[in-house]
Amino acid sequence: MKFVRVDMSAKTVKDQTVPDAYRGIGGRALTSSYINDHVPATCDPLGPDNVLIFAPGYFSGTPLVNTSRLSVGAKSPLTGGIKESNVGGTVAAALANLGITAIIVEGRAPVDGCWVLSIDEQGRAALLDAADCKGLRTYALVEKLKSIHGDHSSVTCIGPAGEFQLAAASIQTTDLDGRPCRAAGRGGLGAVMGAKGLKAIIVSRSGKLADPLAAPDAFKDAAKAYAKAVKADEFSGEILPALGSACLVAPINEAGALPTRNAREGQFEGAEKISGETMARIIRERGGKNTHKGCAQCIIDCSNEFVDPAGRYVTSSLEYETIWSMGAMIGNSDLDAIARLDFLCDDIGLDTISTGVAVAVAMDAGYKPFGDAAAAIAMVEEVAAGSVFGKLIGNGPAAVGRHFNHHRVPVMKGQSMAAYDPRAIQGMAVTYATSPMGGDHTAGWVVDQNLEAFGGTLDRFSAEGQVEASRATQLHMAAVDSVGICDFAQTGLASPEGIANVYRMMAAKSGNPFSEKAWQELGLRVLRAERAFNRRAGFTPADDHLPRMFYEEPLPPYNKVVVVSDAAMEKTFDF
Amino acid sequence: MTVQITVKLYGTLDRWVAGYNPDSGCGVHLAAQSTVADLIDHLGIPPRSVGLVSVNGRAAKKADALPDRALVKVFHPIFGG
Ligand code: SF4
Repeated sequence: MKFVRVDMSAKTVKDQTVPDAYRGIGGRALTSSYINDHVPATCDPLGPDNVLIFAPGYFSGTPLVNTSRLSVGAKSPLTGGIKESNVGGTVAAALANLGITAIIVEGRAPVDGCWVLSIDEQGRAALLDAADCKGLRTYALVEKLKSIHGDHSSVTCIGPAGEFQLAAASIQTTDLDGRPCRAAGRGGLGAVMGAKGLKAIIVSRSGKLADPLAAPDAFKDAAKAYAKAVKADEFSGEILPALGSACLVAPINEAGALPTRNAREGQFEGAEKISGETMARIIRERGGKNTHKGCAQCIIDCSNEFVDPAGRYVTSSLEYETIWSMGAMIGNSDLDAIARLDFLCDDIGLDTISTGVAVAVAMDAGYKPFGDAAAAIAMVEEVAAGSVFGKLIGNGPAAVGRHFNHHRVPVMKGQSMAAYDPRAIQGMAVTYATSPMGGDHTAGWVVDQNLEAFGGTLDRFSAEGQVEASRATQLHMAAVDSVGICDFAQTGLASPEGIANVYRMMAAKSGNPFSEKAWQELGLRVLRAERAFNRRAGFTPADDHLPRMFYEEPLPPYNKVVVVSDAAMEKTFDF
Repeated sequence: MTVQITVKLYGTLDRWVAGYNPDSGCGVHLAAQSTVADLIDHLGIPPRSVGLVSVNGRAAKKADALPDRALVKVFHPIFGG
């Protein structure tokens, strides 16, 4: 139970016992509380006063399945507000197995400094000069670091986009195969890492120092029941392994909610060509891998390895959000081009969502025609080349919109929405508008209520019940992101018995009673901290609204607009 | 009187129909006035395994009647985000 504190200005690393205020929490609860407590809200996100914090979920390093989730927090250069971006892979389990509750990176190395933080199997951390790693793309960087540090480590790193401190830069981390293909994509945290002069964090995966469980047997019992529920569920036990998250393409498109050509339409005529069903078939025929394990301790295996017609590796893992942002959103139905764009974003260290939407805005402004995949690839390559236009794309859709003086820019608090058009699923309008994260789907995904059971238990075109659904889900997700359970393993906690297992595990790890009320308080603690930070950073209720396009432009084929009022948005959180 | 329906199945729902062809879907004959729920029952798919259903490109409810020569797409429930 320790913090590893890294001061990039002084080049010092030291361990600190976790202070009482941060005991018993992990993941987003820890990153957001810490940022709210210690970062001056009006600071320059790329300056020395910002803090970058990496925290495994509270359940990471325990026997519970699907818990290698890392939360990364800082003030975001993209939104200007607080940010938590989370990612799978192996690093969260690796850190937790070393008894590391968080890595806290402060200060800033002199301009042009390039350093890596290395943590060995005893949890000893050291800052190493890595001038020879400067400018490397992530795949080449990982190969180089593996040759020096061995390949039983996880690598969490930035690419050229992070070094250029671009606002859509991601932090990439390695999967179980050691590829830097998993991304803490949202919010431009790669730029914060770049600004600090930190290129990579290498963490030994051989640690045996995990925090002890207060009641190991009780924990294991509940964890076993949880895993059984995840396996038994049709979605996590069968559909995700078969198709991955790409299984969402066809139903969301059919619902008229797949933003197409910069959200001018809600259905893409090329959707069948880029659907999960098509992707899985192509992967199978070419000898790639479906049902691929991306993260430590995963029992779902939603990942895949996409290969070219000759069977050569292109990317891992091709997922729904990227298939949308680099597909329908830019009018591109060429799955091979989407896979190439996914790889490029991982390699350059870019958020695939913000980057795809940035390309879509450029196309909408007339820079290149929609559907021109070669132009999209060239635009993304420009980011790595460091050209002026590349910097625009790498700074995300709002920067591109400003450059072209183009007003159809689907961002909230500066961050682009994801693959669910809020006009076709009103609850997503509430989440995008009110999440302290900006446009973010995982913060409060209310798609299921709006589409399940033959077309939704909520009327997806009506405002009725949507604020309540989004609020409840955002609070719940804040808690889920804090314990560090993969979104897709939430099938294990969807039932009353399932969530009771989570409470039992909380109690069994901490040794303190844990109830439904404590779960709600955990979610509230997170949202309160995040909203408090954003208020101090200058956000007002007007920042909880959507761009006008969503109220004014009916979305085909259902021709609906967002009907949740600004007043209702502002009342979503009354703190 | 019967209606002729073309059904397309998504996710892993194809396992409920032997010999299902993902490119062409499958053809089904039902009594006139049959509903979405009747079709799901006819296919033998448990209703809990069904999320969204569309009829001729529009989201449909259980009780909606199926017009002759309709294209019906049946999707699995979704979860997670
Ligand atoms: S389901 Fe997918 S994202 Fe979740 S832990 Fe497994 S491989 Fe990672």
